[in-house]
Amino acid sequence: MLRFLLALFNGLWRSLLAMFGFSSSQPALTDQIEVFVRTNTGEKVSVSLSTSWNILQVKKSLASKLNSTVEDLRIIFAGKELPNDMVIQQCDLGHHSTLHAIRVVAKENQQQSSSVSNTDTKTKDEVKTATISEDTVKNVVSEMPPSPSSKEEEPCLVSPDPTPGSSRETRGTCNRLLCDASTIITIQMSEAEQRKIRELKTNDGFGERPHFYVYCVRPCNTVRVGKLRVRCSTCKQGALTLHRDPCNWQDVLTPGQITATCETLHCTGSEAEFFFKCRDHETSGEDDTSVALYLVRANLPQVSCLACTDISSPVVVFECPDAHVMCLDCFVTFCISRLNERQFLHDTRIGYTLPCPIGCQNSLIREVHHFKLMGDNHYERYQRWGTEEAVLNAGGVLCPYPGCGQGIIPDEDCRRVACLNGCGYVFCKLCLQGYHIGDCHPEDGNGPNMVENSGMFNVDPTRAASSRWDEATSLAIRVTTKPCPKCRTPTERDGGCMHMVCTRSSCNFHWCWVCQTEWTRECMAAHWFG
Amino acid sequence: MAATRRLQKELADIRKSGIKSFRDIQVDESNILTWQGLIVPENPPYNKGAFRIEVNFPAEYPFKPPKINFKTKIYHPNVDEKGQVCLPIISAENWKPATKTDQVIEALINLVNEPEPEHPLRADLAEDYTKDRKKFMKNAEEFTKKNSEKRPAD
Repeated sequence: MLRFLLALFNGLWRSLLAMFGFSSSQPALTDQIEVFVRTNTGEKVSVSLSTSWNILQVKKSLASKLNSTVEDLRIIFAGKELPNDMVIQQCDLGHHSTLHAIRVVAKENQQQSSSVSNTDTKTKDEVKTATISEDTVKNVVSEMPPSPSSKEEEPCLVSPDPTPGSSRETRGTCNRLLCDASTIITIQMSEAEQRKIRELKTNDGFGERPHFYVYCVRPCNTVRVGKLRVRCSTCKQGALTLHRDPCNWQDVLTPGQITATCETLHCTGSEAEFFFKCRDHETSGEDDTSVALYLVRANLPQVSCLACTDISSPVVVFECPDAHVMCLDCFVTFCISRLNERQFLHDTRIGYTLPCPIGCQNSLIREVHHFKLMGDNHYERYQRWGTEEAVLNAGGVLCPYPGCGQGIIPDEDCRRVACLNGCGYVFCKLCLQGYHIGDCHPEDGNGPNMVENSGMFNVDPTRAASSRWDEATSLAIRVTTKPCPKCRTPTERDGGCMHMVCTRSSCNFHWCWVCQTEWTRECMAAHWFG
Repeated sequence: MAATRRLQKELADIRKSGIKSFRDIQVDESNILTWQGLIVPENPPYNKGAFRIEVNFPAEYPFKPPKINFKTKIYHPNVDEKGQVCLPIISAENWKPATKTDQVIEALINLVNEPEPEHPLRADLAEDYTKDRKKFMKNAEEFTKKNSEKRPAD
């Protein structure tokens, strides 16, 4: 009996303790997760948290370990301070995530604060800061209860803050995280679209949520749902508070758009730097970042793909005025079919890229990581050709030696080019054959030129030509192709009419297979179909 | 595969639409990339018969245009003796992935009904068509009666 009473008392005592957040750091619950906490003074401790805890309980657990008091701690996550009543579950903290618990005192009072006692913590400037950043918060939105301060439906997050620093006054009131739905919505969608989403949401509370998408190179090697994170652009630590929320992709992708207060000791950084992480794998550290694929979006408005007409999600939304939509499968097919024909365009600013398949103006894909979706082999080919095109556009040549292809930017007035960093082959810039003396006539014929007067034997050129090692290939090329009259790309005609369009994207010359000159109405009348 | 999914949908849509001038669509279950169908024109001289065509979709469809061939001989300035036809909507430079097959078929039917002698594939027929319409109509009608397929009853 006594034992029973004792047990009961013990149980009651424990639940009381738990209620006030005094339970030990091992609550022995199944929803327990282990996270790393890093302080801004360089300490790193690991703590076990229960997902049912709120931030106040986390602070209590941290306080003893960090030799601080609950009142001294501020917990900042992804550019926002977390209020005491926010529950870990809402943050969806991942196992082995790294939190930054930073023991910084306000910069003006550093000396004073280092000796601060646990009792005297009334002034704001002496508040110690614990910052949670990294992978602590996942899809916060979806689990966010309609708490009084949750303002999910607000159209824009901008709270223009005229005086940097005054953000402190708003602390405690803002309990939305950087990466909640409203941020994603504002960044990804126009106002009309947002309105539509809100209408949809009022109809049914569930359904798909907006996400950021990234290309995760390692270990996923595919497109994944991403999470937006922020750090100080100077010290690269996550202990900072933003002066305003990001409102569009420009805020996120262009450095220096948003100012912030960095809480890390001795850091004077004042600019926020946004980055993305893959949400699918357990993070391997702070460098484990991914590139945002900002054309990839969740298909909330249920737009059908322009190619296969299916409705799927996520989709690629092009930047043309009509914002044409394509599913990921079709986007990949589109890119590969364009790549196979070498129809990517070289843009001096962006690089080797594609426009919207409808051909809209100003629709070039600006983030070339989108082409990673083609898969490793195609992407490798894409990179090689992109480089070649860039060399050619810069007035360079590609080493003609078989298997080399090194890009070389030769001197303007010198015809002799040596492949210095590649195979060492020396060739003529004009005819792309081995270097020769005398005049160069690259227009003569389609095949390689004979070197004049340089050999030791006087061999009949026709006979010499038929004794070349790669005779079969060059013969086949010579027999089956004709050069584009403008850029001389060897072109094969595999059927259809005599009207040829040069396959090189930067040429696109219209020419006649029969006349080997520009395509005219006469060609049409005389031998359109041969 | 984008091509298969989209073609299945397009085929179902066209069959459902019950379009009168393109019918009897036959598609081999194992190869949805090749369609055959019967063009039933409204205008003389082609309204005396029907014409079987074959539509070939490339594997890269819809990023590359389909090709159209007449299987039935037709006396037409824009269709050559081999059955090749030059349709601007499916030329490489005009092709848009969003163009649907029913639009292509519609353009083809319009071309059959209203020849375009300015862009001929058979210059002799185009000349007759513009200069001696009566002779052209007579020849075309005879040719159609002799070579074309039977028109469906309804």
